Amino acid sequence: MALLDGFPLDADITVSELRKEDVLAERLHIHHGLRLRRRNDVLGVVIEAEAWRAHTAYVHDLEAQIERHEDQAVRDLIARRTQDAQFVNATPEVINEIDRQYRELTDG
Amino acid sequence: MGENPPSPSEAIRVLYLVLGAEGIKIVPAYVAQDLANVRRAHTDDAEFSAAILAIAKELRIAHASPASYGVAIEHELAGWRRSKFSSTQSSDAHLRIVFRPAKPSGMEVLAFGDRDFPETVYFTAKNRLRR
Repeated sequence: MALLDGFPLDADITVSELRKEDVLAERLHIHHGLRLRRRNDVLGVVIEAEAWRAHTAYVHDLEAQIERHEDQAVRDLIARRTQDAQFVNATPEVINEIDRQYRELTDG
Repeated sequence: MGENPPSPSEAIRVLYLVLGAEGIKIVPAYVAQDLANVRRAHTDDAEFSAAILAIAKELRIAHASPASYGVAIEHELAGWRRSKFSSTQSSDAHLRIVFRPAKPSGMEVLAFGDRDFPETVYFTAKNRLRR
């Protein structure tokens, strides 16, 4: 139920109340987000359009930050690995050597 | 391979086949190290095999158009690109490859591995240099 964390206790609306526009508007105005209930079951959530836009913008911003961090990590890796990198074709002899090293590294 | 999932050694053989394709260049020590790190990250045989097969598939796709596949790395001028992908349809994109188009054709593979485990992908080179 982690999805519901952050909703005030009374931030609820029932399925039948959902059809009443004034009730929906008033509760969204107060809480900005509501649990949609049928009896004791939570069927979903209803949030204000502006709150949804803010939420998606926030997620996009976090995703962009993650991408920037990952780019930095890759640049660090490139700087380290390309210092002495000798790129070769994976001939059968090279593959055998890779496999030997792999088994050595994994004790396999 | 029939109905059974491939064993780790079968999956590794598939990866070797892809790496051996015309035009793909590698650094053997990095491949061995990345492979070992994926093995450490995925101790379950089925998960490891799925990860290796996904890496092999991604490399094959990248090899088809290495200049445009994946994303270019920001502020990186040597043409390196990265791609993220998952080993199963239900998992998030936890795997990575780092590559660039080679001249006059083909692709150079710098790294592959799993994002979620600190011993893999982005930390491998650091560890190697410490030895």
